[in-house]
Amino acid sequence: MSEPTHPQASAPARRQEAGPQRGRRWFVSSLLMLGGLTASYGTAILMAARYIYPRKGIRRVRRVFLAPISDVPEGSSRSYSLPGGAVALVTNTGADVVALSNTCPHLGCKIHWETSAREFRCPCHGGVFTPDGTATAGPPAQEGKNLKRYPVTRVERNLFIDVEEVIQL
Amino acid sequence: MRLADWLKERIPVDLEALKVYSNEPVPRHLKHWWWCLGGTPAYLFLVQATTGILLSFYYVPDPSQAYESVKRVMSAVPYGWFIRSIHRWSSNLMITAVILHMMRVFFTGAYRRPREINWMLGVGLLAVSLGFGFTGYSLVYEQLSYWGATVAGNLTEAVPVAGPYLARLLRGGEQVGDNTLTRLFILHIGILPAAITALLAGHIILIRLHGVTEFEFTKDRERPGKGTFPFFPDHFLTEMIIGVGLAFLLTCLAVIFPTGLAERADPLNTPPHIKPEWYFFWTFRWLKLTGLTFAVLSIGAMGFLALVWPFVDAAIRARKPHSEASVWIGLAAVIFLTGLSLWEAIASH
Repeated sequence: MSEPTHPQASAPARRQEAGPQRGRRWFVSSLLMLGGLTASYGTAILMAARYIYPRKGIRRVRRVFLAPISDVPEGSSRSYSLPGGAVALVTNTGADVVALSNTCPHLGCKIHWETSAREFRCPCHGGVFTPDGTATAGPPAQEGKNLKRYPVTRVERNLFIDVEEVIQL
Repeated sequence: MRLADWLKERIPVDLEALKVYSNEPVPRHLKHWWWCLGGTPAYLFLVQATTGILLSFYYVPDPSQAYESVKRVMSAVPYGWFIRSIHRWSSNLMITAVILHMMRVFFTGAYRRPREINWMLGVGLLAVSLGFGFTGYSLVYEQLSYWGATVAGNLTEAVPVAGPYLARLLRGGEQVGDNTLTRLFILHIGILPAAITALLAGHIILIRLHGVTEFEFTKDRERPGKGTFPFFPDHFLTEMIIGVGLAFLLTCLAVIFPTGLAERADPLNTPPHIKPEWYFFWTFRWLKLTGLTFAVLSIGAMGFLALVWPFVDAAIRARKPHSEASVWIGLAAVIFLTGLSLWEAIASH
Protein backbone atom coordinates (compact mmCIF):
# COMPACT_ATOMS: atom_id res chain seq x y z
CA MET A 1 0.00 0.00 0.00
CA SER A 2 2.47 2.63 -1.19
CA GLU A 3 0.11 4.75 -3.34
CA PRO A 4 -3.54 5.41 -2.53
CA THR A 5 -5.55 3.47 -5.07
CA HIS A 6 -8.95 3.45 -3.45
CA PRO A 7 -11.13 6.36 -4.65
CA GLN A 8 -12.02 7.33 -1.09
CA ALA A 9 -8.39 7.48 -0.07
CA SER A 10 -7.47 9.73 -2.98
CA ALA A 11 -10.30 12.21 -2.38
CA PRO A 12 -8.43 14.38 0.15
CA ALA A 13 -5.47 14.53 -2.18
CA ARG A 14 -7.63 15.77 -5.07
CA ARG A 15 -9.21 18.36 -2.83
CA GLN A 16 -5.78 19.67 -1.95
CA GLU A 17 -4.72 19.89 -5.62
CA ALA A 18 -7.77 21.91 -6.60
CA GLY A 19 -7.37 24.05 -3.47
CA PRO A 20 -7.82 27.79 -4.13
CA GLN A 21 -10.20 27.69 -7.14
CA ARG A 22 -12.50 25.13 -5.61
CA GLY A 23 -12.41 27.03 -2.34
CA ARG A 24 -13.80 30.22 -3.81
CA ARG A 25 -16.55 28.47 -5.74
CA TRP A 26 -17.32 26.35 -2.78
CA PHE A 27 -17.52 29.43 -0.57
CA VAL A 28 -19.84 31.35 -2.90
CA SER A 29 -22.12 28.39 -3.59
CA SER A 30 -22.24 27.49 0.10
CA LEU A 31 -23.06 31.06 0.99
CA LEU A 32 -25.85 31.15 -1.57
CA MET A 33 -27.16 27.82 -0.45
CA LEU A 34 -27.04 28.78 3.20
CA GLY A 35 -28.65 32.14 2.42
CA GLY A 36 -31.40 30.45 0.43
CA LEU A 37 -32.07 27.91 3.18
CA THR A 38 -32.10 30.60 5.88
CA ALA A 39 -34.44 32.79 3.85
CA SER A 40 -36.89 30.01 2.98
CA TYR A 41 -36.96 28.20 6.33
CA GLY A 42 -36.82 31.55 8.12
CA THR A 43 -39.92 32.70 6.22
CA ALA A 44 -41.66 29.45 7.14
CA ILE A 45 -40.76 29.93 10.82
CA LEU A 46 -41.95 33.54 10.76
CA MET A 47 -45.21 32.47 9.15
CA ALA A 48 -45.66 29.77 11.82
CA ALA A 49 -44.89 32.27 14.60
CA ARG A 50 -47.34 34.76 13.12
CA TYR A 51 -49.90 31.95 12.85
CA ILE A 52 -49.55 30.97 16.52
CA TYR A 53 -49.25 34.47 17.96
CA PRO A 54 -52.72 35.88 18.62
CA ARG A 55 -53.84 39.05 16.88
CA LYS A 56 -53.93 42.09 19.05
CA GLY A 57 -57.33 42.57 20.60
CA ILE A 58 -59.23 45.77 19.93
CA ARG A 59 -59.69 47.75 23.12
CA ARG A 60 -62.47 50.26 23.27
CA VAL A 61 -64.26 52.16 25.97
CA ARG A 62 -68.04 52.16 25.88
CA ARG A 63 -70.36 54.21 28.04
CA VAL A 64 -73.26 52.08 29.20
CA PHE A 65 -76.33 52.79 31.26
CA LEU A 66 -75.87 51.47 34.80
CA ALA A 67 -78.97 52.27 36.86
CA PRO A 68 -81.21 55.11 37.99
CA ILE A 69 -79.67 56.92 40.94
CA SER A 70 -82.63 55.84 43.10
CA ASP A 71 -81.25 52.29 42.80
CA VAL A 72 -78.26 53.25 44.94
CA PRO A 73 -79.51 55.56 47.70
CA GLU A 74 -77.03 57.61 49.70
CA GLY A 75 -74.84 55.43 51.93
CA SER A 76 -75.66 52.18 50.15
CA SER A 77 -73.72 49.77 47.90
CA ARG A 78 -74.79 47.47 45.11
CA SER A 79 -72.99 45.31 42.61
CA TYR A 80 -73.77 45.33 38.91
CA SER A 81 -72.77 42.91 36.18
CA LEU A 82 -71.26 44.74 33.26
CA PRO A 83 -71.12 43.67 29.62
CA GLY A 84 -68.17 41.31 29.13
CA GLY A 85 -68.57 39.62 32.51
CA ALA A 86 -66.97 42.20 34.82
CA VAL A 87 -68.70 43.29 38.02
CA ALA A 88 -68.78 46.86 39.38
CA LEU A 89 -69.30 47.50 43.10
CA VAL A 90 -71.15 50.80 43.18
CA THR A 91 -71.29 52.90 46.37
CA ASN A 92 -73.10 56.17 46.84
CA THR A 93 -71.11 58.13 49.41
CA GLY A 94 -73.41 61.13 49.16
CA ALA A 95 -70.80 63.41 47.71
CA ASP A 96 -69.89 60.98 44.99
CA VAL A 97 -70.81 57.70 43.32
CA VAL A 98 -67.85 55.31 43.21
CA ALA A 99 -67.74 52.19 41.00
CA LEU A 100 -65.00 49.72 41.92
CA SER A 101 -63.84 46.80 39.84
CA ASN A 102 -64.07 43.45 41.67
CA THR A 103 -60.88 42.17 40.01
CA CYS A 104 -57.84 42.04 42.29
CA PRO A 105 -55.04 44.18 40.81
CA HIS A 106 -52.46 41.59 41.94
CA LEU A 107 -53.14 38.55 39.75
CA GLY A 108 -56.73 38.94 38.61
CA CYS A 109 -58.84 36.91 41.07
CA LYS A 110 -62.30 38.17 42.08
CA ILE A 111 -62.50 39.82 45.49
CA HIS A 112 -65.19 39.12 48.15
CA TRP A 113 -66.89 41.45 50.61
CA GLU A 114 -66.15 40.42 54.20
CA THR A 115 -69.15 41.73 56.17
CA SER A 116 -67.73 41.25 59.69
CA ALA A 117 -64.45 43.01 58.94
CA ARG A 118 -66.04 45.56 56.56
CA GLU A 119 -63.38 45.03 53.94
CA PHE A 120 -62.79 43.37 50.58
CA ARG A 121 -60.57 40.30 50.52
CA CYS A 122 -58.95 38.46 47.66
CA PRO A 123 -59.18 34.67 48.09
CA CYS A 124 -56.02 33.97 46.09
CA HIS A 125 -53.05 35.71 47.71
CA GLY A 126 -54.63 37.53 50.65
CA GLY A 127 -55.03 41.07 49.33
CA VAL A 128 -57.21 43.27 51.59
CA PHE A 129 -58.98 46.48 50.49
CA THR A 130 -61.05 49.13 52.30
CA PRO A 131 -64.60 49.87 51.07
CA ASP A 132 -63.21 52.69 48.93
CA GLY A 133 -60.78 50.27 47.24
CA THR A 134 -57.53 51.23 48.97
CA ALA A 135 -55.18 48.25 49.45
CA THR A 136 -54.33 47.78 53.13
CA ALA A 137 -52.66 44.37 53.33
CA GLY A 138 -51.15 41.59 51.23
CA PRO A 139 -49.25 41.92 47.94
CA PRO A 140 -51.48 44.73 46.49
CA ALA A 141 -50.67 46.93 49.54
CA GLN A 142 -46.95 46.19 49.15
CA GLU A 143 -47.09 47.43 45.60
CA GLY A 144 -49.57 50.25 46.24
CA LYS A 145 -52.14 48.78 43.84
CA ASN A 146 -55.69 49.80 44.72
CA LEU A 147 -58.89 48.46 43.19
CA LYS A 148 -59.54 49.92 39.77
CA ARG A 149 -62.30 52.54 39.58
CA TYR A 150 -64.70 52.79 36.67
CA PRO A 151 -65.51 56.34 35.65
CA VAL A 152 -69.15 57.06 36.56
CA THR A 153 -71.15 59.84 34.96
CA ARG A 154 -74.42 61.15 36.29
CA VAL A 155 -76.87 62.40 33.73
CA GLU A 156 -79.97 63.80 35.41
CA ARG A 157 -81.34 60.91 37.49
CA ASN A 158 -79.36 58.16 35.79
CA LEU A 159 -75.89 56.69 36.22
CA PHE A 160 -73.67 55.76 33.30
CA ILE A 161 -70.41 53.84 33.49
CA ASP A 162 -67.41 53.69 31.13
CA VAL A 163 -66.50 50.07 30.48
CA GLU A 164 -63.40 48.93 28.65
CA GLU A 165 -64.00 46.03 26.30
CA VAL A 166 -61.49 43.84 24.50
CA ILE A 167 -62.64 42.37 21.24
CA GLN A 168 -60.47 39.36 20.43
CA LEU A 169 -60.28 38.56 16.72
CA MET B 1 -34.24 -20.46 11.98
CA ARG B 2 -35.46 -19.62 8.52
CA LEU B 3 -37.63 -16.88 9.90
CA ALA B 4 -34.65 -15.50 11.84
CA ASP B 5 -32.54 -15.47 8.66
CA TRP B 6 -35.38 -13.89 6.71
CA LEU B 7 -35.68 -11.15 9.31
CA LYS B 8 -31.94 -10.61 9.54
CA GLU B 9 -31.74 -10.05 5.80
CA ARG B 10 -34.47 -7.41 5.99
CA ILE B 11 -33.43 -5.81 9.28
CA PRO B 12 -29.64 -6.00 9.08
CA VAL B 13 -28.86 -5.48 12.75
CA ASP B 14 -26.01 -7.27 14.41
CA LEU B 15 -27.71 -8.64 17.49
CA GLU B 16 -24.42 -9.48 19.21
CA ALA B 17 -23.18 -5.89 18.81
CA LEU B 18 -26.57 -4.57 19.95
CA LYS B 19 -26.26 -6.70 23.08
CA VAL B 20 -22.91 -5.09 23.86
CA TYR B 21 -24.28 -1.56 23.32
CA SER B 22 -27.50 -2.05 25.25
CA ASN B 23 -26.07 -4.15 28.02
CA GLU B 24 -24.65 -1.49 30.23
CA PRO B 25 -22.59 -2.66 33.20
CA VAL B 26 -24.40 -1.28 36.24
CA PRO B 27 -22.50 -0.38 39.43
CA ARG B 28 -23.29 -2.62 42.34
CA HIS B 29 -24.84 0.10 44.48
CA LEU B 30 -27.89 -0.05 42.20
CA LYS B 31 -28.79 -3.22 44.06
CA HIS B 32 -30.03 -0.79 46.71
CA TRP B 33 -33.65 0.17 46.10
CA TRP B 34 -33.12 3.89 46.78
CA TRP B 35 -30.74 4.06 43.85
CA CYS B 36 -33.46 2.98 41.41
CA LEU B 37 -35.58 6.13 41.56
CA GLY B 38 -34.49 7.32 38.11
CA GLY B 39 -36.41 4.55 36.38
CA THR B 40 -39.56 5.33 38.39
CA PRO B 41 -40.54 8.56 36.59
CA ALA B 42 -39.79 6.86 33.26
CA TYR B 43 -42.22 4.06 34.12
CA LEU B 44 -44.82 6.55 35.36
CA PHE B 45 -44.38 8.55 32.15
CA LEU B 46 -45.41 5.46 30.19
CA VAL B 47 -48.47 5.12 32.43
CA GLN B 48 -49.25 8.81 31.82
CA ALA B 49 -48.90 8.48 28.07
CA THR B 50 -51.17 5.41 27.95
CA THR B 51 -53.91 6.76 30.22
CA GLY B 52 -53.59 10.21 28.61
CA ILE B 53 -54.23 8.80 25.14
CA LEU B 54 -57.25 6.95 26.55
CA LEU B 55 -58.61 10.12 28.18
CA SER B 56 -58.22 12.11 24.97
CA PHE B 57 -60.76 9.81 23.29
CA TYR B 58 -63.56 11.58 25.17
CA TYR B 59 -62.13 14.95 26.24
CA VAL B 60 -63.38 18.02 24.35
CA PRO B 61 -61.05 21.06 24.59
CA ASP B 62 -63.79 23.67 24.43
CA PRO B 63 -64.76 25.83 27.44
CA SER B 64 -68.44 25.07 26.95
CA GLN B 65 -67.93 21.29 26.80
CA ALA B 66 -64.67 20.50 28.62
CA TYR B 67 -66.13 20.07 32.11
CA GLU B 68 -69.10 18.05 30.83
CA SER B 69 -66.78 15.80 28.82
CA VAL B 70 -64.70 15.05 31.93
CA LYS B 71 -67.94 14.40 33.84
CA ARG B 72 -68.98 11.98 31.12
CA VAL B 73 -65.65 10.14 31.42
CA MET B 74 -66.20 9.91 35.17
CA SER B 75 -69.80 8.78 35.16
CA ALA B 76 -70.80 7.27 31.81
CA VAL B 77 -67.71 5.82 30.13
CA PRO B 78 -66.84 2.29 31.39
CA TYR B 79 -63.79 2.47 33.70
CA GLY B 80 -63.44 6.19 32.88
CA TRP B 81 -63.20 7.08 36.58
CA PHE B 82 -60.45 4.49 36.99
CA ILE B 83 -58.37 5.66 34.04
CA ARG B 84 -58.68 9.30 35.07
CA SER B 85 -57.79 8.47 38.68
CA ILE B 86 -54.73 6.51 37.55
CA HIS B 87 -53.71 9.45 35.33
CA ARG B 88 -54.08 11.92 38.20
CA TRP B 89 -52.35 9.78 40.84
CA SER B 90 -49.60 8.82 38.45
CA SER B 91 -48.91 12.51 37.71
CA ASN B 92 -48.54 13.18 41.45
CA LEU B 93 -46.27 10.18 41.91
CA MET B 94 -44.24 11.16 38.85
CA ILE B 95 -43.51 14.63 40.20
CA THR B 96 -42.71 13.12 43.62
CA ALA B 97 -40.34 10.60 42.00
CA VAL B 98 -38.61 13.30 39.92
CA ILE B 99 -38.09 15.42 43.06
CA LEU B 100 -36.76 12.44 45.09
CA HIS B 101 -34.48 11.37 42.22
CA MET B 102 -33.12 14.92 41.90
CA MET B 103 -32.52 15.11 45.65
CA ARG B 104 -30.62 11.82 45.53
CA VAL B 105 -28.50 13.10 42.61
CA PHE B 106 -27.96 16.43 44.35
CA PHE B 107 -26.91 15.15 47.76
CA THR B 108 -24.60 12.48 46.33
CA GLY B 109 -22.96 15.05 44.04
CA ALA B 110 -23.73 12.90 40.98
CA TYR B 111 -24.26 16.04 38.88
CA ARG B 112 -20.55 16.94 39.01
CA ARG B 113 -18.17 16.91 36.06
CA PRO B 114 -18.64 15.39 33.48
CA ARG B 115 -22.38 15.03 34.15
CA GLU B 116 -23.37 18.73 34.31
CA ILE B 117 -25.41 18.65 31.10
CA ASN B 118 -27.35 15.63 32.28
CA TRP B 119 -28.29 17.52 35.46
CA MET B 120 -29.50 20.38 33.27
CA LEU B 121 -31.59 17.97 31.19
CA GLY B 122 -32.97 16.70 34.51
CA VAL B 123 -33.95 20.21 35.58
CA GLY B 124 -35.63 20.54 32.17
CA LEU B 125 -37.50 17.28 32.83
CA LEU B 126 -38.71 18.64 36.19
CA ALA B 127 -39.88 21.86 34.52
CA VAL B 128 -41.72 19.90 31.81
CA SER B 129 -43.29 17.62 34.46
CA LEU B 130 -44.56 20.69 36.35
CA GLY B 131 -45.81 22.10 33.03
CA PHE B 132 -47.70 18.84 32.48
CA GLY B 133 -49.21 19.15 35.95
CA PHE B 134 -50.33 22.73 35.44
CA THR B 135 -51.76 22.29 31.93
CA GLY B 136 -53.34 18.99 33.02
CA TYR B 137 -55.41 20.40 35.82
CA SER B 138 -56.31 23.43 33.71
CA LEU B 139 -58.02 21.16 31.18
CA VAL B 140 -60.63 19.84 33.63
CA TYR B 141 -62.26 23.30 33.67
CA GLU B 142 -62.99 23.25 37.37
CA GLN B 143 -62.80 26.44 39.40
CA LEU B 144 -59.12 25.75 40.10
CA SER B 145 -58.48 25.22 36.39
CA TYR B 146 -59.87 28.62 35.46
CA TRP B 147 -58.35 30.63 38.31
CA GLY B 148 -55.04 28.77 38.02
CA ALA B 149 -54.87 29.77 34.35
CA THR B 150 -55.84 33.36 35.21
CA VAL B 151 -53.14 33.64 37.88
CA ALA B 152 -50.53 31.94 35.66
CA GLY B 153 -51.36 34.27 32.77
CA ASN B 154 -51.05 37.40 34.92
CA LEU B 155 -47.90 36.02 36.52
CA THR B 156 -46.37 35.54 33.08
CA GLU B 157 -47.40 39.07 32.20
CA ALA B 158 -45.43 40.36 35.20
CA VAL B 159 -42.15 38.96 33.79
CA PRO B 160 -40.08 41.97 32.73
CA VAL B 161 -39.75 42.71 28.98
CA ALA B 162 -41.00 39.46 27.40
CA GLY B 163 -43.87 38.91 29.86
CA PRO B 164 -46.77 40.59 28.05
CA TYR B 165 -45.89 38.85 24.76
CA LEU B 166 -45.54 35.45 26.43
CA ALA B 167 -48.80 35.93 28.31
CA ARG B 168 -50.65 36.77 25.12
CA LEU B 169 -49.10 33.75 23.41
CA LEU B 170 -50.09 31.47 26.30
CA ARG B 171 -53.65 32.81 26.57
CA GLY B 172 -54.23 33.20 22.86
CA GLY B 173 -55.41 36.73 23.48
CA GLU B 174 -55.52 39.58 25.96
CA GLN B 175 -57.43 37.60 28.59
CA VAL B 176 -58.18 34.00 29.49
CA GLY B 177 -60.79 33.08 26.91
CA ASP B 178 -61.92 30.52 24.39
CA ASN B 179 -58.46 30.25 22.84
CA THR B 180 -56.74 29.58 26.16
CA LEU B 181 -58.10 26.08 26.72
CA THR B 182 -57.09 24.92 23.23
CA ARG B 183 -53.58 26.25 23.81
CA LEU B 184 -53.24 24.49 27.15
CA PHE B 185 -54.57 21.31 25.53
CA ILE B 186 -52.02 21.50 22.68
CA LEU B 187 -49.27 22.07 25.24
CA HIS B 188 -50.45 19.09 27.30
CA ILE B 189 -50.88 16.56 24.50
CA GLY B 190 -48.49 17.80 21.80
CA ILE B 191 -45.69 20.15 22.74
CA LEU B 192 -44.85 18.90 26.25
CA PRO B 193 -44.92 15.18 25.26
CA ALA B 194 -42.52 15.98 22.39
CA ALA B 195 -40.29 17.94 24.78
CA ILE B 196 -40.27 15.25 27.46
CA THR B 197 -39.50 12.54 24.90
CA ALA B 198 -36.53 14.50 23.57
CA LEU B 199 -35.23 15.37 27.05
CA LEU B 200 -35.70 11.81 28.30
CA ALA B 201 -33.87 10.41 25.26
CA GLY B 202 -30.98 12.83 25.83
CA HIS B 203 -30.96 12.01 29.54
CA ILE B 204 -30.80 8.24 28.98
CA ILE B 205 -28.22 8.50 26.16
CA LEU B 206 -25.94 10.60 28.40
CA ILE B 207 -26.35 8.15 31.28
CA ARG B 208 -25.37 5.34 28.91
CA LEU B 209 -22.37 7.27 27.54
CA HIS B 210 -21.02 8.31 30.94
CA GLY B 211 -22.11 5.23 32.83
CA VAL B 212 -23.93 5.45 36.13
CA THR B 213 -22.02 7.40 38.79
CA GLU B 214 -20.22 4.89 40.97
CA PHE B 215 -20.57 4.84 44.68
CA GLU B 216 -19.18 2.34 47.05
CA PHE B 217 -20.79 1.30 50.26
CA THR B 218 -18.64 0.05 53.09
CA LYS B 219 -20.58 -3.18 53.36
CA ASP B 220 -20.33 -3.80 49.58
CA ARG B 221 -16.56 -3.61 49.84
CA GLU B 222 -16.55 -6.69 52.00
CA ARG B 223 -18.52 -8.71 49.47
CA PRO B 224 -16.61 -10.74 46.93
CA GLY B 225 -17.05 -10.38 43.15
CA LYS B 226 -16.93 -7.68 40.50
CA GLY B 227 -18.00 -4.07 41.02
CA THR B 228 -20.74 -4.19 38.38
CA PHE B 229 -23.61 -6.36 37.24
CA PRO B 230 -25.34 -6.48 33.83
CA PHE B 231 -28.21 -4.12 32.99
CA PHE B 232 -30.04 -6.90 31.21
CA PRO B 233 -31.61 -8.89 32.71
CA ASP B 234 -30.58 -8.04 36.29
CA HIS B 235 -31.30 -4.34 36.54
CA PHE B 236 -34.11 -4.52 34.03
CA LEU B 237 -35.84 -7.04 36.29
CA THR B 238 -35.35 -4.74 39.28
CA GLU B 239 -37.09 -1.98 37.31
CA MET B 240 -39.86 -4.45 36.38
CA ILE B 241 -40.40 -5.21 40.06
CA ILE B 242 -40.59 -1.47 40.79
CA GLY B 243 -43.04 -1.14 37.87
CA VAL B 244 -45.31 -3.88 39.25
CA GLY B 245 -45.11 -2.29 42.70
CA LEU B 246 -46.09 1.10 41.22
CA ALA B 247 -48.96 -0.43 39.26
CA PHE B 248 -50.23 -1.98 42.50
CA LEU B 249 -49.84 1.30 44.39
CA LEU B 250 -51.59 3.28 41.63
CA THR B 251 -54.48 0.81 41.53
CA CYS B 252 -54.89 1.02 45.31
CA LEU B 253 -54.78 4.83 45.28
CA ALA B 254 -57.20 5.08 42.34
CA VAL B 255 -59.69 2.69 43.96
CA ILE B 256 -59.44 3.98 47.54
CA PHE B 257 -59.08 7.67 46.68
CA PRO B 258 -60.63 8.13 43.22
CA THR B 259 -60.18 11.56 41.65
CA GLY B 260 -63.27 13.70 42.05
CA LEU B 261 -64.65 16.58 40.09
CA ALA B 262 -64.94 19.96 41.82
CA GLU B 263 -67.26 22.83 40.95
CA ARG B 264 -67.40 23.97 37.33
CA ALA B 265 -65.29 27.03 36.42
CA ASP B 266 -67.09 30.31 37.03
CA PRO B 267 -65.27 33.28 35.48
CA LEU B 268 -67.37 35.69 37.58
CA ASN B 269 -66.55 34.25 40.97
CA THR B 270 -63.31 33.11 42.61
CA PRO B 271 -64.13 30.53 45.32
CA PRO B 272 -63.24 31.68 48.86
CA HIS B 273 -60.72 28.88 49.46
CA ILE B 274 -58.52 28.23 46.49
CA LYS B 275 -55.20 26.43 46.41
CA PRO B 276 -53.18 24.98 43.56
CA GLU B 277 -51.81 21.41 43.42
CA TRP B 278 -49.31 20.65 46.22
CA TYR B 279 -46.25 21.07 43.99
CA PHE B 280 -47.12 24.74 43.50
CA PHE B 281 -47.88 25.40 47.18
CA TRP B 282 -44.51 27.03 47.77
CA THR B 283 -44.92 29.51 44.87
CA PHE B 284 -48.46 30.28 46.06
CA ARG B 285 -47.20 31.08 49.57
CA TRP B 286 -44.24 33.03 48.18
CA LEU B 287 -46.65 35.15 46.12
CA LYS B 288 -48.58 35.98 49.29
CA LEU B 289 -45.43 37.07 51.12
CA THR B 290 -43.70 39.19 48.51
CA GLY B 291 -44.51 41.83 45.95
CA LEU B 292 -45.34 40.58 42.46
CA THR B 293 -42.21 41.72 40.61
CA PHE B 294 -39.92 40.43 43.35
CA ALA B 295 -41.79 37.11 43.48
CA VAL B 296 -41.52 36.60 39.72
CA LEU B 297 -37.85 37.56 39.58
CA SER B 298 -36.88 35.49 42.63
CA ILE B 299 -38.71 32.38 41.37
CA GLY B 300 -36.96 32.83 38.01
CA ALA B 301 -33.60 33.26 39.75
CA MET B 302 -34.13 30.09 41.84
CA GLY B 303 -34.98 28.11 38.70
CA PHE B 304 -31.91 29.44 36.93
CA LEU B 305 -29.69 28.64 39.91
CA ALA B 306 -31.03 25.07 39.95
CA LEU B 307 -30.27 24.79 36.23
CA VAL B 308 -26.66 26.00 36.42
CA TRP B 309 -25.98 24.54 39.88
CA PRO B 310 -23.20 22.11 38.74
CA PHE B 311 -21.13 25.09 37.55
CA VAL B 312 -21.77 27.12 40.71
CA ASP B 313 -20.74 24.07 42.75
CA ALA B 314 -17.58 23.69 40.66
CA ALA B 315 -16.72 27.35 41.25
CA ILE B 316 -17.16 26.92 45.01
CA ARG B 317 -15.07 23.76 45.04
CA ALA B 318 -12.34 25.39 42.97
CA ARG B 319 -11.83 27.86 45.82
CA LYS B 320 -12.42 25.44 48.67
CA PRO B 321 -11.75 21.88 47.48
CA HIS B 322 -13.18 20.12 50.53
CA SER B 323 -16.13 22.44 50.96
CA GLU B 324 -19.43 20.89 52.00
CA ALA B 325 -21.23 24.04 50.86
CA SER B 326 -23.39 22.21 48.31
CA VAL B 327 -24.87 19.99 51.02
CA TRP B 328 -25.71 22.96 53.23
CA ILE B 329 -27.14 25.01 50.37
CA GLY B 330 -29.16 21.98 49.26
CA LEU B 331 -30.46 21.45 52.79
CA ALA B 332 -31.37 25.13 53.07
CA ALA B 333 -33.27 24.93 49.76
CA VAL B 334 -35.15 21.79 50.86
CA ILE B 335 -36.07 23.36 54.21
CA PHE B 336 -37.13 26.62 52.52
CA LEU B 337 -39.32 24.96 49.87
CA THR B 338 -40.78 22.34 52.25
CA GLY B 339 -41.39 25.02 54.87
CA LEU B 340 -43.31 27.26 52.45
CA SER B 341 -45.27 24.26 51.14
CA LEU B 342 -46.22 23.05 54.63
CA TRP B 343 -47.19 26.57 55.66
CA GLU B 344 -49.51 26.78 52.66
CA ALA B 345 -50.88 23.30 53.33
CA ILE B 346 -51.72 24.06 56.97
CA ALA B 347 -52.85 27.70 56.73
CA SER B 348 -56.47 28.35 55.81
CA HIS B 349 -55.62 31.70 54.18
